[in-house]
Amino acid sequence: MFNGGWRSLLNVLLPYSTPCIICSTPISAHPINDNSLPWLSQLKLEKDLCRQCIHEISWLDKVLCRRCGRSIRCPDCQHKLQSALWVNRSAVRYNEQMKQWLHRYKFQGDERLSILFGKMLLPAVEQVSLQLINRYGLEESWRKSRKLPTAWLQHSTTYGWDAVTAVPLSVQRLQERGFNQAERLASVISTHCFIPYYNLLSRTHHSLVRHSHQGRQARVMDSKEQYSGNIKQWHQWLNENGTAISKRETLNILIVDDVYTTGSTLNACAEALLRVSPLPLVVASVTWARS
Amino acid sequence: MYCKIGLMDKGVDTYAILLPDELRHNGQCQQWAACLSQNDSLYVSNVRLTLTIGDWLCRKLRSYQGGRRTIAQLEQAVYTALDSIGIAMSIDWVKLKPLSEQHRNSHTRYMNLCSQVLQWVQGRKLLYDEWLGLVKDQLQVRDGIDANCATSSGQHQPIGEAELLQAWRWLLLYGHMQLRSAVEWQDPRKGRTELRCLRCYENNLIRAVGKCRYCGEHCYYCSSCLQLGRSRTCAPLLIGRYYSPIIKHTSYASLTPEHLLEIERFSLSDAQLMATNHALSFVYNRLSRYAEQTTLGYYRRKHLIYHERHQEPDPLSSQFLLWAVTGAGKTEMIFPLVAYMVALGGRVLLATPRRDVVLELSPRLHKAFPELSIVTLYGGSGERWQYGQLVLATTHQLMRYQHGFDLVIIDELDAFPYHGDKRLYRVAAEARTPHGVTILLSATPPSYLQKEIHRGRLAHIKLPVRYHRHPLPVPIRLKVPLVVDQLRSYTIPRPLIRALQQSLAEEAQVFIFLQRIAHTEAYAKLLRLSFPDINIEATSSQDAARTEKVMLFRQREIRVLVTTTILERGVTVPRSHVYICDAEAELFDEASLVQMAGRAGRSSDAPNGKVYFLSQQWSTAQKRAIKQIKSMNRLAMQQGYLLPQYLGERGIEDV
Repeated sequence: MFNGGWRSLLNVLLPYSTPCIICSTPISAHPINDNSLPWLSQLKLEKDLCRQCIHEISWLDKVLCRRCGRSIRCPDCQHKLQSALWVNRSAVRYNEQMKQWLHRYKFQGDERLSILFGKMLLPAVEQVSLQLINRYGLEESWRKSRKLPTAWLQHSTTYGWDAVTAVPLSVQRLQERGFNQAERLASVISTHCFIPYYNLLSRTHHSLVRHSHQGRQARVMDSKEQYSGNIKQWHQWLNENGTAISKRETLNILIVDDVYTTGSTLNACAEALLRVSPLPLVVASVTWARS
Repeated sequence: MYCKIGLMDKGVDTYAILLPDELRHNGQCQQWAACLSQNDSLYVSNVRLTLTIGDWLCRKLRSYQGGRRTIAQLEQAVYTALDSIGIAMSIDWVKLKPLSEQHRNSHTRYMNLCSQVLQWVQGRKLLYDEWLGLVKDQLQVRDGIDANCATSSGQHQPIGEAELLQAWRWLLLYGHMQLRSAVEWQDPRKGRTELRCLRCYENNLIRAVGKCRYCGEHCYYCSSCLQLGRSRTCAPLLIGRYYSPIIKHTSYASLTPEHLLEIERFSLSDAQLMATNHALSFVYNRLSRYAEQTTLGYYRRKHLIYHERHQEPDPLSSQFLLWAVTGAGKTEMIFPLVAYMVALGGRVLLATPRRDVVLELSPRLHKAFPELSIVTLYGGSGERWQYGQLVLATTHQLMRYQHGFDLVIIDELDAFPYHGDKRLYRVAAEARTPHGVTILLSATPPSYLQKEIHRGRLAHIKLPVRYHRHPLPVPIRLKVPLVVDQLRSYTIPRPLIRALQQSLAEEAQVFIFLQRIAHTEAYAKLLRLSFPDINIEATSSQDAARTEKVMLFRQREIRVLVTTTILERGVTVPRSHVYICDAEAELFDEASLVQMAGRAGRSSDAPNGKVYFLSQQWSTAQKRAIKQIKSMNRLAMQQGYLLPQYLGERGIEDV
């Protein structure tokens, strides 16, 4: 019906919006109203993604394992009695589709996705914050405030997140890739939730085999002793927030990573943080995907 | 990555080269000096530049064509160019001299390796990581062969990294390989809008969110060719030069297609032979004209260059369109062209849009040219880094070549990746050498090419008849409601049922093309109600069992196949009739209507298939498609290619 001249007139009246980042089809500007996930419309994903791609996201909305945030009662966490990492929450289930998205971001290097993925992480951050509120037994006063958990924690001086940090890459891989995928996600969280970002970890040696090519045992062995605290950044952090930290009994740190598979990487990171910390630590993690 | 500018003084000639920023240490200077020949010397600047600016500077220094410049003049040119973009600093030049006799002798043993590497990279355009992959892959292959020889001769020296580095230094210094930035900065004075990806020619680049860990700046990268590796401002791109043997022929008198080719060997029909001869003579004329130009005297050649500089050579002058109707046997006509170019010693590229076509053509080419080195490239192909005189590739693989082929054949240029993507035309044009020829094959050329034909600017030949010499079936129009309405009212209109009954009674295989994937299953279900004893299936791009269903359809197990435009090309099913629902839909343009109509009557035992356009409105695309089919039939009759039974029959135009 609308060919030639009419089409161009329509283009003037209804200007072309930016295409979907994933599939590069034009986006229709209608807001999504999905009743099953009430918080979805607040993330405003429809600015970057087309409707179909939004539907393809496999949100991890049912948490059955309270420790690692899996949607099944996981045997791993029941075996483990004590670990350095306190709790983990993830944004999406790691299925084939999500694997492709992550591949595009991490290995092909499409950095535009970092902002989108960072936004997708926000619900998981809220969940971890809620866990922290529960840990301190503050649920009552939080409920009265009618605020999101992270926003509420931010105003409290005695609790709340002290820093957000990311799992580091080795220098060699960093040069290969040009950016640290976890660090980019962490910086998005840092700006959205007003938690300061510090690079508290560093990598001591370069593993020759990619983690995604290894089995469980090999991973656990490999991850140990791979990370250490970045002392310089610790000093900077403690100097800059000296007054706030001096009131604390424990420090709360959030680690960000892209995928949680066995948890060995994040556990090793948490151990490394515990080793250098002057105060007792609560280390929680947020990952984009949970396999 | 950073770079430095080097000025090469070869005694008779001076030129500027871009060098990687590794010349900081004295030892490395020695190694660069070791690559220099007897009377040459190299001046290296002490200033580190970003890759994009260095690239721009080098291009600027090279674009000057008026005779030889002295080193002092070049130094001055570098200074003024940098000054114009606001980088004003004093530059010191370090002069490297060739090493003594004895040192260079140790170098000559790399020469064998150098020529090898040159052969692998010629005509290639690779990111640095890809280049490493290529060299490692090829060395392993070569070592494998050498190891076999070594066991017999007893001596085998593995090639170390140092030797390889030396080879690449030599290639860079002497211009056999060029170092460039993967993102080209056309003019730094005009800001970042002038950035362009050198691999896919995309102008719209994306600024990275954070600072790059490689160069410490906000890199720009190209998002449209990400799957081939990220091309970004700080990524070096290596372009190998292709020394075409074609240019060496000075006289083409004895190199005509008739001399070099036995065209009978390919067993083509009369019409195919006519079209092929036209294409061959186009190739011959162009190459012989080029040879004439190069044998002109120095001053006349300079004059020509001068003219070309001010007057861009017409890109159409190197293209030849072979407009052959659907089912004309385009693929067979490729073979003589390839054979001719190979006989001349040139390199040939055959680009098709789809992977299955590549996989299907590859064994046929291997059979037709058993002694030729053929490389088949597609996403995930194992022969990625091999050198071949004939390269068979999907469209996106062309981005890895630059001026690498004397003959480029592009199949189905109106199909998916090219359709509406101007950048890919540029990519295909860049893969060809400046003197080479591009041959375009299509049944439905895009409108801008048709315009050029009308203006008489594009060399072309129309092949209006199928190989079995029957005319193309002309579509019949049926006025029926839209598919959506049919599904809603849950009825199939009477005229459509009658037509289908007739087709099935004629023992035909029925294609039904729909506009939307979502409708295919529902429509098949609806049809099954009306034809309960006929096997009806639906398929689409999202169907996992697509290939099996198409195979069953070919074997006549399935009689009616409801599908979308994915089967519009490349599928040949004997005795088929075609129904196009919602023919007025915007998705079905002239080209795709002609292609879908071309599925009917392709085999010689049932050449009169039927094609129906089912629509409510009579759209321009439908009218144009029918007009195109009719004009082809008329042309076939005028040129006398149709079977005698059709001669003098008025009916063809009106059927």
